[in-house]
This record gives sequence, structure tokens and C-alpha cells, in this order.
Amino acid sequence: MFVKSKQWVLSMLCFLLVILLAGCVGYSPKSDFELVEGEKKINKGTIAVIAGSGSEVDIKLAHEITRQLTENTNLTVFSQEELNKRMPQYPMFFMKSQESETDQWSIRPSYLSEENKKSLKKIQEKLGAEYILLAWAEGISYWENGVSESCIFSFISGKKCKLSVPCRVVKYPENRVIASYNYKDRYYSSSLYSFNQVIDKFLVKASRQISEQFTTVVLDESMLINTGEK
Amino acid sequence: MRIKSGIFILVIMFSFVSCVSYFNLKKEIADAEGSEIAVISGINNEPNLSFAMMLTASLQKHSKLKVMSQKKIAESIEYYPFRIEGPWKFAYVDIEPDFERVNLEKIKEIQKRLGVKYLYVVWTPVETSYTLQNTGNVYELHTISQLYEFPDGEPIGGSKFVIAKHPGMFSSMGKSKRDVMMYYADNVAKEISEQMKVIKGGNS
Repeated sequence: MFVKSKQWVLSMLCFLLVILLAGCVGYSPKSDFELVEGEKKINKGTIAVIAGSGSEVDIKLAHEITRQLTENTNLTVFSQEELNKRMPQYPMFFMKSQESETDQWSIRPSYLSEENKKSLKKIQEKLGAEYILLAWAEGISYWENGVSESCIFSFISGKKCKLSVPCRVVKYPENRVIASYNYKDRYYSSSLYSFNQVIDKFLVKASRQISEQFTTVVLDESMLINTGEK
Repeated sequence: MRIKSGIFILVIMFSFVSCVSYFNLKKEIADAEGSEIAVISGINNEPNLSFAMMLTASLQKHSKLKVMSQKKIAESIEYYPFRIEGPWKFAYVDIEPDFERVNLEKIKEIQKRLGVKYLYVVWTPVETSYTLQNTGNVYELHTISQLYEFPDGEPIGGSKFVIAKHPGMFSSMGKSKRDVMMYYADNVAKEISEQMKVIKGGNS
């Protein structure tokens, strides 16, 4: 009896250790990329992924989404280095706050303020891109400890963060938002990682989700490297 | 009991304040007096540029260096300020330094345009705020900096500290964010001037 309970304790300890080392658990986001009614999927063209600000979070998102789109689609994607060459001030803090943007009760999901549209148009004029995917982080928060929410691992895995990333796809020369995504997610991670590492992993996950959603919903099948033709 | 815990909190607060190192010079400098220095904002946002401007003014006040004005820097370098890849691996919550990641080429280009002997580049990539129960709001600006000596472009000093507006800290009690930043800029300028032996009223 004693041996059996000892084995049980040991296996539980191993289980806990595996969870601690494995580290990260996330939720699947609930929303999707949406094509604005009447708009067609993109089947050719050039695209630039623009960071909404010069913050480290936005820069990371823009780099990762650019990488994903370059690797997985036949679109001509401007590299972030190319953007910097053409606009020495990029990445820059050009967007004005529009926090109500992600409030989907009262404002349509594809909302982009006129002021921000104008600023983005100036960027587009320097690039000549046919499409811009604008992404910026709103309301990133992080905390540690405590049993919280519905994640069964949350009492063990100590670090948590929350992030929302509004994305807009704008078509030029029409200067019209043709698709949008208000990505929101939570991320749980082991205490073994620093908050910086946790947030970095979270941003990579968010970028992958955003680019996968973009290729599925906004891009024509022929533009996918694995399934389409060049 | 209350007095004892009050003293304890004061001691902790004092030790926090006194632990901040605003600048560390890595090599002896004997002949810097009269040399030209420029303070460069490593990120193109308002807090970073403000700190660079305040530090410029403080160095002009405290040191015997010739300190280039931010106006002259902006006239000499097109698009200034712009982002220079800084010395960190991560900078989301705080700064995890990695000095290999600095874009030294960009820094050398800037120096070529300005022609100064010393370039002090300061980055403030992380701005955070949080609320302490029963105390109030805390605002933090995480900074990291490097001092480069030319013609070689060798990094000869620097620092990493947090500009903190904390309701419980002597240095920021009742002060605005701008006042707190000026306090830090003044301390950085004094330490640079002392360690480079160019402080006004000093024995250099």
C-alpha cells in the first residue's frame, strides 16, 4: 500500500515537472480574419506589413508576420529592412490611439480612423505597395501567480499575459480597408521563463495565427506556396 | 511599532535610491576637456528624445565638454531621431542586454556626419506603469546607454537604469514625470563629467 502511494506521488511529481518544463499553454483565439462584404480575395500583388508603432512589441509582430507571409505565400512581400531603407524613420510611432476600435459592440471590426488612414497612405505612397497589412498591439498585460480563469494549468504555470492585436488590410489606390482581424488571446507559461521570454513566445504565436488566418481568409488559394501555382 | 516599520521602509527606499548607477566608465580618460560630445536618441519617440534633450542640457551645465545641441544634430542628420537597433535581446518588460545587437554601423555613420569625439547613445525601449495598493501609480522608463569614443567607435562606458516616478520614493515625491526625468538626466550628466574628469568646478 505504502509502495503504491509512493509510486503515485512520484508519478504526480513527474507530471508536475513535465508541465513546468513544457511551459506554455495558450487558448485558441475566438475571432477570425474577416473579409469586408463585397471584397474579393487577393490573387496577386505586393504587400507590406507595417508596425503600428516603433514599440518592441509591434516591431516583433511586423517582423514575424512578414517572415510568415514571405515563406508561405506567392505575394511579393516587402522585407522590414526594405521598409527601413525606403523610410529611414520606420518603424515609427505614427498611429493615433483609437482604443474603441476593438469594441465590437458599437464599432465595426474593420474600423480605421480617418487620421490613421491618412498616415498610412503617406507610408504607402513611399512604397507603392498594393496592399498594406497594418498590425499593432493594444493592451498588452502580464501578471504572475494566483489561480485564475479557466486554464487547468494556471495554478502551476505562474506567468500569464493577455494581448490584443488589431490588424487591417488596406487596398490601394482605393485606400479602403478590405479585411480585418481583432486578435485577442491569453497565454500561460511556466515560471521558469522570464516575462520577456514569455511575451516573445506569445508574439510569435500571435503572428503565426494572424498570418495563417490571413492566408486562409484573405488570400486566394492560388497564392499559397504549398497548394497554388506560381 | 509603527515608527520601527517606518524606519525600515525608509532604509529600504534609501538603499534603492543609492544603488542606482547612472554611468560606468570602463577606461581611464585624462584629456577629455574641451572634446566634443553629442547625445543621440536611439528611438524616435517622445520620452527618448526628451531624455536626450535633458541630458544634453545637463551636460552643458555640468561638464567642460563641448556638447552639441539637439538642434544642430537634427540639422546635420536627416530624419533624426530614428531607431537605432539597441543593445538588448529583449525589451518588452525590462531590458535584457545583449551588446552584440547594437547597430554599430549606423552609429559610425552618425558620428561621421557630426564629427564629434564622443557619442553618447541612449535608448528607452520600455515604458511601463502599474498601481501599488494604498500607494498610487508607478511609472517606469527603462533606459540603456553606451558611450562611444572615436575615431575607433569603441564603447568605453554606459549604464542601464530605470527612470521611476514612484509615489514612495524621495526622488519623485510630488514631482511631475518631466521633473523626475530631469533629476535623472542631471545625475547621469554629473557622473559622466566626474568619471571623465571634466566636471565644472572639479580638479581636472
